Amino acid sequence: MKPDRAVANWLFLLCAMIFGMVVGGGHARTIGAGFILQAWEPVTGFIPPLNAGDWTHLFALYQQTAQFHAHPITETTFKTLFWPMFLDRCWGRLMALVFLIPFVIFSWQRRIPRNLAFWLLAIFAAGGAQAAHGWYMVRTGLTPGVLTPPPSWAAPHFLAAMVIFTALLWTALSIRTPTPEPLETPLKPWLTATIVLILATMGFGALVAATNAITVFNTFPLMDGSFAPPTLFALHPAWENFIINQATVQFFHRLLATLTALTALTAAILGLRAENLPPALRDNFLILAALVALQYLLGMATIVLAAPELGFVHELNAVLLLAAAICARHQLRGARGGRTLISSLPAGGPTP
Amino acid sequence: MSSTTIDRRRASPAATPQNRALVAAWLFAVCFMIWVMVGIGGFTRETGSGLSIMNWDPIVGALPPLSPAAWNKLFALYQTIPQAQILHKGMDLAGFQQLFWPEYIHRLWGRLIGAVFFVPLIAFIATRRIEARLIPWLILLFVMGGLQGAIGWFMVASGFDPNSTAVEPWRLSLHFSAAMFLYVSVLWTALTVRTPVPAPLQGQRALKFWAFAATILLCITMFAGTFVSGTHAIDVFSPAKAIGVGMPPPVYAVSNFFTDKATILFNHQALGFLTALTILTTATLALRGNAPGQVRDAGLAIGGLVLLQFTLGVTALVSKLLDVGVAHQMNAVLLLTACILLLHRLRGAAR
Repeated sequence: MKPDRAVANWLFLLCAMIFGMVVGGGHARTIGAGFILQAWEPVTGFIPPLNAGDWTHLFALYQQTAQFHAHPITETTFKTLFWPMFLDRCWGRLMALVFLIPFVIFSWQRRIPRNLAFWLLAIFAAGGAQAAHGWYMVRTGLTPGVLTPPPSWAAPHFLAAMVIFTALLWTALSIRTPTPEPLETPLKPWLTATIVLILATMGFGALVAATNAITVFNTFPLMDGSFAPPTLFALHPAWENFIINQATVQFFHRLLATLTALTALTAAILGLRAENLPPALRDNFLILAALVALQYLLGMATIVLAAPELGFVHELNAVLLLAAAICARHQLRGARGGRTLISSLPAGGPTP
Repeated sequence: MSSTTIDRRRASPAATPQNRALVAAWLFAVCFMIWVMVGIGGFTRETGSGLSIMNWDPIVGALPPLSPAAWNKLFALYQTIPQAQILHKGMDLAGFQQLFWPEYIHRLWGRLIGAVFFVPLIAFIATRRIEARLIPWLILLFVMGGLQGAIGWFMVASGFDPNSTAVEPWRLSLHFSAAMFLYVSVLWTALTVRTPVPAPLQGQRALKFWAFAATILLCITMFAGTFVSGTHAIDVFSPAKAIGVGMPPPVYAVSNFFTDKATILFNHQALGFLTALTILTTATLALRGNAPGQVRDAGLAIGGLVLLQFTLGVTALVSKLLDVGVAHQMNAVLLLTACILLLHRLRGAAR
């Protein structure tokens, strides 16, 4: 199978747009605009409010939310909060177009095999489901007492986006490099574990954000003097702690983050010491190590300074870290066996 | 170095591979003991027990107080110093003993290092296992070790000044810096005894330059770090007041470099950041280039240790846990070791 660079680049563009969506969504969350736009017209919704009547209508819809009842705002404030959320949704519509138009063209040119077409349509459907899920999350704002998007809605929204991102990036990489390179190394399970751990840590990270757990335990490495806070399982039934208990979600985010960092760094060290790996893969391991170290430091700074803006940067870097791990894992598709520890190394550098 | 020198050295009966391996192992053991000493010294500072022994008897002092009378005598002596009257009013003998042991162990470990250096040195000279040209250098290192003990006492003596509850930061810095100088000297000697002839390297001069710059910056950062620990500058860390979060204090002047805690903290952080970037660049160059495996491994070591060092530094700062500070200090020595190792493996790059 020959690599089709145009198709690959199209999917890479979509991956970049998902990253853009995380930027928009994270920003909307950071400024607290999640419930601001209580209307969803999937197709015509791209038209912004054009006159005073439109604004009054949209503002009136927002006034039905519990958030507004708890913290009333003026129409001017409403407008400033409205635009980021509006842009975020328009970005989603743009992504649908960037998916569909090239998809039709490439299909017409017979550049997309049948299996791939089904797979891509499944990813598109998942994207549509994300939009619908997002909308129902916004609708929870009408429930009395629900002042911010509930963690049980927000975390799956983010995690699903990351799973779609993973699938799309993997597909794009596979189209660019269809034939796996045979490699003699035991690194594959390390990278698989790294990706799984990153996704799990990101899930808890989303819970930390959604429960506003950044406001508690602003100490590191201990949580207010203890390794694990005493309120870890304060709620009954116990599983509820893993969704809405600030102490629990923050604790597991920290624990998984440390585990992820150690796993990723071990993978990177093994990769950088391994024999006969292609230089591109070695560079990938360097990037992985750098991003995971940066991610850990950003996380520490975020919690100690209780700074949501830093948390936003931390969130974006997490996506880059995930991408780096996926790229490394993809280059190892053809890997099998090999020794983990070697005593002497060959000279590095590009093979002549 | 001309090839005749190398030939002569190889021909020296003392320089058989077995003898070199033995001498190198002994010197590495001394390095390890100095590293442990850094940990004990950090712990002594952390527990604030540096001033609990008011005299310096290099030989006789190896014995701890053995009778209640001896304890009472020492305790009575301690009660006369300002630290006891200001910080430890009403302390009982048990409290004093707790204060006493870390400082005692610190000093005892120093004596032990001296013995572990001196006894094998004499034995190796007597059995002709050391090349003649190394002997004066090793004796000099031993004298420097003795000097280190004297500097330690010079430092402790500053803590007995009126109204003083701790040693002078300058003298603490001198004590640590001299220890590091000695450590690097012993380490470089050990590495050179193990690998006397550098392997010629092609095209690694840029890397060598970076490694050298990284090591110099690391030494400066460590020097700045001694003042953070000597003045307890970590006390002023406060995100609310924007102290210690990476911004220079409102009044930033050279005259404050060694006295104002916020300035000291900022300098160490700024230098630490610069050093981390330089070391990471060096590690990246080593790992991406076509260096031999040994150089790449040293590059990996400096990269990994600097990430750990930065994380430990931030953790020590935000948690104000002194244990983490000691770990940060010990890891700094490991990082320095890795830098020296990299430089040593790059010796042949100049040719």
